[in-house]
Amino acid sequence: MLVLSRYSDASNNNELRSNLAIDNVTVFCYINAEVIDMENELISKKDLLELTGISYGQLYRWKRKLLIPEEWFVRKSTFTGQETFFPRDRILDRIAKIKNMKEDASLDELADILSPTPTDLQVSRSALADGKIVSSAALELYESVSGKGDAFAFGDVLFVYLLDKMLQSGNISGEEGKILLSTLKEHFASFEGQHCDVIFLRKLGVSTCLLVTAPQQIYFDDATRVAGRLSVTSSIEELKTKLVNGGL
Amino acid sequence: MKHETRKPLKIVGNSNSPGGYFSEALIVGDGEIEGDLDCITLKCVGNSRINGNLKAEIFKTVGSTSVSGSVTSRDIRIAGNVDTKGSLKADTIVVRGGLEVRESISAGEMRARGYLTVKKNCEAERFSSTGPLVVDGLLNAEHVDLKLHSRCRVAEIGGETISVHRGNAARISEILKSLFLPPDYMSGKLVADTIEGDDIHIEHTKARVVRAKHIVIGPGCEIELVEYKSSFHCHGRSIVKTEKKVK
Repeated sequence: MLVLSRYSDASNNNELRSNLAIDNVTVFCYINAEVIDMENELISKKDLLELTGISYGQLYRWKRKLLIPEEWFVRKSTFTGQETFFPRDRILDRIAKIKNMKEDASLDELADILSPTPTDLQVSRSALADGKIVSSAALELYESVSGKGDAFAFGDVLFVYLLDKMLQSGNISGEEGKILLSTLKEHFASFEGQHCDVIFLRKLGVSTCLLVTAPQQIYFDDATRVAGRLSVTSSIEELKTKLVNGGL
Repeated sequence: MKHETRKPLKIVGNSNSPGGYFSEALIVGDGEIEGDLDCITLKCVGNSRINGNLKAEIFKTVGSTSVSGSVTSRDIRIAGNVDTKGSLKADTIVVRGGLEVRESISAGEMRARGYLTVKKNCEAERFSSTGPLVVDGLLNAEHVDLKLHSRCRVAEIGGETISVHRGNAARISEILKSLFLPPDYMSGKLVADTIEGDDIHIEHTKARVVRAKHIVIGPGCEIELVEYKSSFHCHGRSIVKTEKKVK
């Protein structure tokens, strides 16, 4: 039996405790829903502009075009009044990306690449099979589960891509890849464009896979090993960039 | 739903409709839609109420319309009063009269003449307003052009070029307006927390922080902190507590 759990809202609970039962192995996990990794290190708007050399006009334009998500604008009181801060690493990374890519793509195209929602792009099987985006092993495994088709919707390509990344990292086996695929197929849609992570667990030789909203801290009991954790959001970004650069 | 054929909807007099999927919808008189309305064009004359979400390519209203959900449209023209509980999204929004939105506005071009109230953020590529304006969130537009009447309040303004002036009117209409408009209508003022942009020209504004490359502070301003990059000019009758040149 595979139990998949999804925790998006921790209504009024700082900590959620739950157990996932896999065959006869029980995995305990704690989700700390309140601490978000945005707390880690913040950068003020002023410092950000100075560091990156962009202007207020650009920053606000990118915000309007949804290149910078609303939730990154963190308001905090300082001794001069309320100021806006950003999660340092993520905003610097994002701005570097925008500056790099804005030569080749329009802001609207960029917004599409950077958004956490899948696009309505279609990729033909032959384009996918040449091994540039995903390995043929991952593609074959995917097809053995969900059958062959001539064209792939973006969501399908994403699943193959996630599978490929997990397989390439050597963290999961092909059989376990099928668990991953079935979990994604069944539950990924319910995240509706929210940021999420896919986590692969192993305990006493039994493996399972779960999806959680990101950023979220999650802890497991000692005997559980996190075999692999992938940010779906950044994978979507990578994949979109690859697809656009590959001319698809 | 998508393949259903669209038929016109007409409400004349005092009537209601359960809503649905239409080509042209026309409400003359007192109309009420009990549910979501999806149409190509919606024209309202008189009083109308939509208890649901509105989706229309073109939405024109003369009179008063209230929507309990959100509005998605391409072209919105309002002469009269409109209030929505949800958000408002369109390419072009032209308001003459009053508009109150309890959520956010997102538009390509927004021109408002009259009362405009937004409870959350207001985003547009070009934004201009003449009249009493209240935005409780961020007003974010490439070009912001405000003509102030009465007391205006915006929590934050962000954009590229921001110009804030006191609204004026021709002498004759000034006399006419004084009959039925609030007494402070011609002496508009803006209260804001933060104003950030590239080029800023403001008048009659009270703000905590103003930050930009080029800043011109006109008469009647009271600013706690000005941070500029290239140029700064302040009118003699304005108060700026602290000014700082930043790199």
